[in-house]
Amino acid sequence: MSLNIDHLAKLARLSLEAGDHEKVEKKIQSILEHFNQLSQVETSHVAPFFHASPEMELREDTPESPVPVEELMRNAPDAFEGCFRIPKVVGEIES
Amino acid sequence: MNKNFSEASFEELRVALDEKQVSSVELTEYFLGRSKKLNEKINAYISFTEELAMAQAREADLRLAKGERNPVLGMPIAVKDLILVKDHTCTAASKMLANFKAPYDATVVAKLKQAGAPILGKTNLDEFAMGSSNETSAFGASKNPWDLTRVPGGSSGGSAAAVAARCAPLSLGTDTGGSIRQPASLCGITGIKPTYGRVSRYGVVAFASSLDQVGPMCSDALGSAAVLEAISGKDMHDATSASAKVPSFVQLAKDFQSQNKLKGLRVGIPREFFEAGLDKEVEKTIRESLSFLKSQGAELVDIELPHTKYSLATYYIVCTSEASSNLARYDGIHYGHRTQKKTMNLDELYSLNRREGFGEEVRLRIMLGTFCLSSGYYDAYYRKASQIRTLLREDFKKAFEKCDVIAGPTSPTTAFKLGEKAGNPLQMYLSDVYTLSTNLAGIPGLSFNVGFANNLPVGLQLLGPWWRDDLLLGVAHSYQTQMPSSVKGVTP
Repeated sequence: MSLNIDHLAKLARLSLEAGDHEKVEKKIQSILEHFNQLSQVETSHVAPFFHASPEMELREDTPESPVPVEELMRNAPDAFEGCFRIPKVVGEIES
Repeated sequence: MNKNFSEASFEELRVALDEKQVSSVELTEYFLGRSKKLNEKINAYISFTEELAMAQAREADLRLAKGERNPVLGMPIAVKDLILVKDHTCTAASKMLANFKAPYDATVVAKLKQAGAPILGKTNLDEFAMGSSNETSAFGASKNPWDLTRVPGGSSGGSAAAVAARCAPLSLGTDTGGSIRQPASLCGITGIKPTYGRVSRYGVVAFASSLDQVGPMCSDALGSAAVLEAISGKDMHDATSASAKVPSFVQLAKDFQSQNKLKGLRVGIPREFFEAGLDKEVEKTIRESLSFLKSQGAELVDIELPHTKYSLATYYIVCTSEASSNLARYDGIHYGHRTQKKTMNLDELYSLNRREGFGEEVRLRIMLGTFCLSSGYYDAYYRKASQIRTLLREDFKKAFEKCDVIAGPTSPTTAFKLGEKAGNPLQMYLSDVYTLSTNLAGIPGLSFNVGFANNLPVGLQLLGPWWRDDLLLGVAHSYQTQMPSSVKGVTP
């Protein structure tokens, strides 16, 4: 199987630095080799089990605001007048 | 009572508080002082919440004076730094959240505050709870109080080390694949991962949502039962929390012991937990503890959990997949680490924030999970693992037709040396080989100290059927009543 580390990094929004490639590829490759033993198990008639919860009870969809907006904004690395500020993006062409 | 509180059991402290031989303020001051002093050696805490703790302790004393009683009222507790305590930092041991201040209390913390348990501080862990040794913490590894050159286990290593060194009588951990039980074993204390859904996950930094569960750690089973009683229950803020009735776990554990319910208890011994990889000295200690249970009237039954050998691969596919999705929220815009470098567009900003904010193991797991969920590989990895998860669950269902609880080693080895397994993820993952299937199935699991091998603690793991957390606490309490030396702490 071909492992495209650049593609994975792009999907995961993780920039790579010099030396990352080889290191990550080697580690992922060895772990995937271990994962591949699962192909030995016959599962064609087995339903997947995605969640350990026996019940999923939904609550009424009623608006509540337990935490004031200002308090939530306090953790923002860059906030201005109640808005999250980011670098200028308008006019940029994304590859 | 003797004012050297580090030598007291949970029950002795409880009685002393209830009979006003000691105040919550005295206890809280004592444990804060001891924690600060010993933290230089064991690095169990990332931060202290002293003002909060003292205010809570004063209030607890007023409530005690008025005659109010509950199992944790006035009893100090340390909280894993993965769990939100309002107005205090919650770092998840990551540079990403180094300055994050919790805007609200996690439900478990709200419940502890309501019950009157003073919160001493936030304990060290592997970054985002991803690790088995505490070494991936961005704030330096916590050390094992029994041997400072060794790991305390992980990811709740700080919570375990704090209790083992008696820097806190109680602590909270979280367990996604063994993160309460493995450090409990390596540090010689008691820890329980409750049945999935027993405890709310609201306000707990998410790692793998279908596996994560908060649970108590304490020197003994009674303290663990007291905390479990306080934090359990349905929470409208967590749709996966269950409405199962919350019993008095303390009373049930005491009844189990006083009514000698070990007699006739069928204890299943899974063949697969005693195969290659298990340290011989650990095995000897485990077998001795099983003989002891037998001598108390338990019936040892051979059982099989045939898919155990697939649990490691299954677990790491499920947990990394869920983690890659859960950790997508860390964009460095709403909160979290923001790069100082100049970026040209949003994608570049996200990618740099995340590259700089996350440590190596976290990045590896995000990439691995991204791979398992990516187009073309989903069926072969994530879906396949989820099918095997069904088989692992069925293994347990079948086993519990033949036995009441399952017992075996918690960890294949005792505490290993710092640095010994760092850099080799598969070797590290193998240290959780006996605990992973519990989370995949959602059943409760408990580890408690049953002796020493090579002068290091060894934990016996008990697994129970869904919602029978009480049985595990009962068995451990019965053992500890007969073997009080098994709950001893250590001063590093």
